Amino acid sequence: MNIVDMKSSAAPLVTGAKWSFVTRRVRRADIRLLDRDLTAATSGDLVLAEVQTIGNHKRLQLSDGRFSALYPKDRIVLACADRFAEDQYEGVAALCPDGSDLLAGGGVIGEMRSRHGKIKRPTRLSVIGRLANKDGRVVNVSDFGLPPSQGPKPKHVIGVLGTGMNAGKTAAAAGLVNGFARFGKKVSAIKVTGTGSFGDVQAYEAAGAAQVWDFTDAGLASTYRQPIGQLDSLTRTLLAASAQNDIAIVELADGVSQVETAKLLRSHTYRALFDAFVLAAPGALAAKGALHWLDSEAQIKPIALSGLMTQAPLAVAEAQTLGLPVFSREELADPATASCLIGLLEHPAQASVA
Amino acid sequence: MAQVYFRPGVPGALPEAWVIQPEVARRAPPVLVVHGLNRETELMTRLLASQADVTGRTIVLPVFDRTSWPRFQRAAGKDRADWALLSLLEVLRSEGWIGDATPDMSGFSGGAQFVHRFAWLYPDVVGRLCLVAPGWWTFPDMRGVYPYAMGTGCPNDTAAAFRLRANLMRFLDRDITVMVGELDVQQDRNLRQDPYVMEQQGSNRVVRARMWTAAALRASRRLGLSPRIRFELMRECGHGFGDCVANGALVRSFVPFGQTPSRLPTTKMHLRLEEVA
Repeated sequence: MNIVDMKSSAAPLVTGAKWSFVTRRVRRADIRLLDRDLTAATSGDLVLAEVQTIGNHKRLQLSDGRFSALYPKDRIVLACADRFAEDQYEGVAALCPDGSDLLAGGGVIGEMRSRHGKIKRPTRLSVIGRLANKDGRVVNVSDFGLPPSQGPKPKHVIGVLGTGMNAGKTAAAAGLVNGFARFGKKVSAIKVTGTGSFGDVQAYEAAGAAQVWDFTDAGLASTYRQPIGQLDSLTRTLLAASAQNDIAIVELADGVSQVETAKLLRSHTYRALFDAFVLAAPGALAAKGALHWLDSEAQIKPIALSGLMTQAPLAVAEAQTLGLPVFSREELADPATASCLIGLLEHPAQASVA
Repeated sequence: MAQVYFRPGVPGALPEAWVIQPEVARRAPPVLVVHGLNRETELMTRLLASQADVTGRTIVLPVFDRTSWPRFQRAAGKDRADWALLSLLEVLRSEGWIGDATPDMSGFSGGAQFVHRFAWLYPDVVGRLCLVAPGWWTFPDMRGVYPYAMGTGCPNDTAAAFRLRANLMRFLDRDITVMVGELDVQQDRNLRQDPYVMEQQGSNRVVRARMWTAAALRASRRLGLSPRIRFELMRECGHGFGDCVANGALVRSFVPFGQTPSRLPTTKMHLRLEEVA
């Protein structure tokens, strides 16, 4: 049954609402109408919701880079999207008239499928409707992404991979950014997969990146369950947008065997975008497992190890038996390390000599 | 006549520097000259100024003050003189004192210690090297950990060791002149004399310079390079910069003409290995 008068003016309800991080590229003047058909929701649709009960997420990441504490009855603008986070939630891009879940503090709304045993229930949201333009077409964050590009990329591209969530990938990526920047290079830092969050991009900015991008700049609120071709394309787009830099540091979310990450890494055309990879791990055994997976499934041999394990000298000593240098974030942030890595990228034959 | 300028620094962050600009600049990269533990930069500036005019090259003498960089000669030691020099190069370029060309680098005594370590850490940042009479060296072998050599001993030094090993070929693949006065055989207070160094490197600067040159030649050949490493014993010179300038014609190698000398034939280098080993 079609309800003719599903669309009403959004202006009174959107006024005063908190706009979340994943919506930061949206041109707010385009928002005119409210679409109450929740069954048609797709990933990336802009959603106006009201906070029912505060659960796990007590704060929202705003589009201007600040946190905002959440209160019941707050009106917030989010993007409907999937979520993959082993130590938080798995959720899908769906909206329910009875209420939906705040799946990520960066502003992702959807329906939780499962949660980590130590994580509270999600903050619960009442869905007011999807936000639409003057023609009634629901606005999607993809409308404001960078146009796809296959243009030239920076001279060097280093990928940062991990054994899983919280392996220390972002710290390693930020360390690399800082080291290369202090070595006098212009660095672009890119997060190509994951769920929209300002934590990573702010870490890159703080490390001295000349330019920072993430997949939200390419029009996705989350990359979970998105077509691999689209993720490949967005990586090329963000690299092309970084072309004026000397080097790009590219972080891929979650572990190497996570479904989208694994598919990307198995693709030789995708791997060819990178000159080298650094692997972050919380421990030596995890590193060993990931190295084996990378070798057997993706023919990738990282040039160095890093991650949470570098905080533990015993773990470092064990990891050093794996035959790769192990760098802490501080060591990656040393321009002397950047000098060495540039040499290995430009003269790969010397890696075996080393 | 060359003009000498003083560029103030920022304690702990940016070394002061003397900048000698030739009257007629040629299209040649600048030369960075690093002082020894005595930090005699005013003397060095005075003695090198005329060579700036002879070669048409800008000469930069950073001053690693005793308070901020007490052990600058270790380069990547606790006080990170290497970071300070990277900052200075960036500032001098942004202020127009020097251009983007890769500078050559020369060091005397403790300055030579710094220079060979800095060039090893940042092989793409500097060009030709002139290393004069350092008290001790970082050896291109595995017989110790940094700053003695490029081996590993504990988890904390493996990153440093990896950097040295990974950079070794690029470090050695350049013109390197090693010089020392033939009378520089005194065991003065600035000469490191602990048993480990005495055994690893020899008992005085002449022996140590010969041993390092031999080790560098061996390492170069092992890596498949045609070495461009030259050893020169300065006649009637001891361990003084003025002495080496007056008696040893140090300046010609310390601030050479800008063009790259032709590659030395390998056969000659074999002879030189015999000479120094």
